[in-house]
Amino acid sequence: MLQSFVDGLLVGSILSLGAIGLTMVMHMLRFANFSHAELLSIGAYAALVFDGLFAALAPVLTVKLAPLSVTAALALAFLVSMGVTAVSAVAIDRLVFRRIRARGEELSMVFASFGVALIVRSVIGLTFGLHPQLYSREIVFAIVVSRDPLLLIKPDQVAVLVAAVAIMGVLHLVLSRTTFGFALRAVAENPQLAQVNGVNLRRMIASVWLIGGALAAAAGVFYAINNQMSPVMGRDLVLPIFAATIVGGIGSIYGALLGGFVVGLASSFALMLLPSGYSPAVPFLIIIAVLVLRPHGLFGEARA
Amino acid sequence: MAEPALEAVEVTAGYVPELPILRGVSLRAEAGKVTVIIGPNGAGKSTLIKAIAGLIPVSGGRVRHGGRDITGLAPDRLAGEGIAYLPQTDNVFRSLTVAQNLALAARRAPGATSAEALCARFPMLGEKRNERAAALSGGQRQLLALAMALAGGPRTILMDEPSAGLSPRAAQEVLELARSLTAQGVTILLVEQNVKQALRLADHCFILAEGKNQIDGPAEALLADPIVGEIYLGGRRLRA
Repeated sequence: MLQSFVDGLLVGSILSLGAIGLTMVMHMLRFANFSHAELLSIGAYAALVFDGLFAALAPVLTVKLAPLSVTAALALAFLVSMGVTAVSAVAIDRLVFRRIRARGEELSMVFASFGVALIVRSVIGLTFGLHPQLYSREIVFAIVVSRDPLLLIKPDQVAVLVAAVAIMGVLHLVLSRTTFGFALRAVAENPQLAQVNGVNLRRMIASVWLIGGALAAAAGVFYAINNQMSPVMGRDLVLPIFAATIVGGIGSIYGALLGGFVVGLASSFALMLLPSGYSPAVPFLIIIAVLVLRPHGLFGEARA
Repeated sequence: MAEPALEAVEVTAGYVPELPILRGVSLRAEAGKVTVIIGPNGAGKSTLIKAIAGLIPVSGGRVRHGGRDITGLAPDRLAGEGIAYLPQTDNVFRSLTVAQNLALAARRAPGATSAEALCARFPMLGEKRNERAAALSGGQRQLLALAMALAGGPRTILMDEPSAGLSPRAAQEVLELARSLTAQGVTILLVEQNVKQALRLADHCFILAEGKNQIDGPAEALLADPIVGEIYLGGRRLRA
């Protein structure tokens, strides 16, 4: 039970980071972006590339940050991957979505997002191969935190959870203490009113893609550290991230944070009750339950 | 004739270019006066104010503010032109606190009034500064919206039915507050459904129907005009 709770928190923190960008894009641009989870893949693979690059350029960076399996090169690569993914998200918007948006074809944007997802997945597969990859092949043993009830935690998991919560903390400070954060929340809630209050919508849309991309990269790297990365990781994560967004309420950034944890914990606890093969169905069930019982999610509001 | 603070000349506009709601509407709002736009439902009153605010594309005609052509100006640049716009509904950010709403509004123009100064000017808002706007009553929310509009130090405020959904007393207070702003030289362009209340408050009135100008004149004169009374009591149409 306790193990499931901790595992659920870890998965939830990753989903939350992925869901924040998705909820903002879905609300502001009014389309379900099925390519958002591919940003996690871009982030994970960008970190892989820069990890190798930094390690080659400065071997001193290959030192492990004990007791983690993570090297200093990967820590640096993580930061760079956030930037690369943020820029990639803006580029995808400029190249694809903005052009369709200009024609007012919201439904076409949904189909285009499927296309973008397939293209990103294929490019990653062609470039890096279809086999799963790891940042480190070193075996890191879990620490026995408790024997009764049994609780095993890897140092990497603790680091990822702490880092994810720290990122959420920074995001919370930005959202609750800065006028930029107010503007971001204002645009998520009511773009037209935000505009007449002097918020430049184009700039905010770019900011949303940048933030969403950077957070997705963090989620992708965290996921790859604790599991492994493959070209289809975006496909595997898209549904849980959508479930987190819907649970929290589309447009609610704090809702997305909470929704990620709800989905993560529910998926983790489901493994106690169901064979693991049924686990991927849990986000589907959550989406259906929320849409039936509370269509606007925990924090969302009805909109025209 | 003196230069009007705000002028719309033969404006044609609508949500879809092929289906204009406004068909050549003209309007002048004098500086430091309250100008009200009235008309039956579907007359295009809100559409006109939204077109002036840049929220709806203008396919014909011009809009000038202080002599400057602002036709098609992006809504986020309104404040820079000294214009504030108060939507009819959803005119505050419900998820933000009162203080955050004011801080957001205060960032839009250089030299804007700070959130603290606005709280001092409207003590009720100061008392509720840490409450979410969603928790405010309709009248309090309207006051917050007006305070947000004032943050940028506007020369002109466009108000779309500020009394909608309010109790008669709250509506009266909001409209009187709007009226009091004219003493500071602020121009008010008001869309209002409550015709009698609006005409008592306003200096000048434009009546629209079916997306066109019908009658305009001093509000006092229109208030006393039996034809206007008949139209609004009986729903009869003016000139087609």
